[in-house]
Amino acid sequence: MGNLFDFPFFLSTFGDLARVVPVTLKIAAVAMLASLAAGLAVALARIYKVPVLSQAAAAYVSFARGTPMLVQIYLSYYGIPLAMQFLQEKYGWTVDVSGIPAIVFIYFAFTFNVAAYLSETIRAAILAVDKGQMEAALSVGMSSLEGMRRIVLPQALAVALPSFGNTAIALVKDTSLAFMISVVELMGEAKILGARGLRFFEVYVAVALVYWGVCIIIERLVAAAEKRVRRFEGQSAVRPA
Amino acid sequence: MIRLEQLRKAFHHNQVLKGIDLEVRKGEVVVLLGPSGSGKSTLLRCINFLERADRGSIRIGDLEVDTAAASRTQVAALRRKTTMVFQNYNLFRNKTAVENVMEGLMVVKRLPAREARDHAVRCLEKVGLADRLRYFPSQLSGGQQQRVGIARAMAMDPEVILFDEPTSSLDPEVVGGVLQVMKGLARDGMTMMVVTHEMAFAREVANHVAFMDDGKVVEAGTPDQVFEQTRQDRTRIFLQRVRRDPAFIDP
Repeated sequence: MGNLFDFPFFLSTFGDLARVVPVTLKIAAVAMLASLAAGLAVALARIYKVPVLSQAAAAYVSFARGTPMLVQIYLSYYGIPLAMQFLQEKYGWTVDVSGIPAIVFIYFAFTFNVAAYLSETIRAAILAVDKGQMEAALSVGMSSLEGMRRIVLPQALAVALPSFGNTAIALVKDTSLAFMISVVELMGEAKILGARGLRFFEVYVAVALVYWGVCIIIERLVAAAEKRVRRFEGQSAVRPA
Repeated sequence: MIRLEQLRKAFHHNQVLKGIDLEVRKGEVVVLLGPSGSGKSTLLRCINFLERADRGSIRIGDLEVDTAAASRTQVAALRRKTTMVFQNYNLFRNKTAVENVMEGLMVVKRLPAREARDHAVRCLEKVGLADRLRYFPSQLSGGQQQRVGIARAMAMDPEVILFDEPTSSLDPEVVGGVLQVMKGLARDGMTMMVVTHEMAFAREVANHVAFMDDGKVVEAGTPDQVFEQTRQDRTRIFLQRVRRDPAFIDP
């Protein structure tokens, strides 16, 4: 048994893995927050059928969902420096591309990808809110922006939150791709530890458990948030017979 | 005072309003009657620009708007002079009863939260819901929701409240309570335009009744003129039909 599964080594990896959990969480958190903002903008452009923007948004969503995450990471990692170099030569910018840490390209790539999915979730959630809600807001004199912000979006959030949770969990797991451009997050650290100890299976079991633990915590947080956000609905209505 | 002139509205090729002229004086209650599809609701919704009329003009108080050329500012100004009570209540589902009434006061009238709450509570007291302030719409019955809807509409102190079939979704036994609240508003001098099938209400409360059919005002006058000295055949046929309805109580 000792040769099949090196238990002490397995246990010893948790400390090192725990140390990089913040990197994984940071990628996921930055990408999630940026994606929520970008996804909302894309969704609104499509709902209000803003000329040019809405067509561009549709094309973007199609491309971002129709190409692998890994490809998008490489496009970001190699493409953004090229674009900056081009701008430098053309406009004489002085930005040191090589000074940008790799994790920044990861932020870009993940936001690009996740925002596309979230925009579809947000769009569906906004459209699921009864049209009468906006009409009521307008009828008391609110602008459509105020109605959207104060009445429609809070209700759409209640609809979208379970999906947001799923997306967040998928995102946490996808961050394991960041090591492809040498950002040392959980998976990267696992590979390093495995190579150092020459025991890979033990480390991968350990890293699987760490991912699982992180995802369970997110599940719990989302469930708690859902309860809060949905507090206005579902209570037993006291309808007369 | 409200004056509508030659209002026209089409949905695709379907001409729903075919040139409506109507005048409502301050403090008056005007009831719009007519078969479904005659354009009554569309007419109300054109007044606060939930639908944009294709042509014609709308005047409320000192503001006159040419519907075809209405600017964003004009639409906003018009909406501040009106409020609406909807058939399906359309209470803000994410807000409690008192928050529903406060919302417009805070966002549109810019009242501080305290003042808005005090005023909202007074309005909810008037409609008999002082004990339901913190209830969400999902916890209220239809009749209660509609009374919150009326409180929300009157709280803004508009020049006119537009009632779009306010009792049509309600269970029969709570209709009376809602109508009672509306009568109270009328007594207090609120200008009201009411689309309804409640003939007894029209007779008792309305100063004027306008009968609409096929996108036009066919007949208009005092309740007595329209109900007792009916001039138009179309009106007569409609009235006979609703009188046969058991919900209609002949006073």
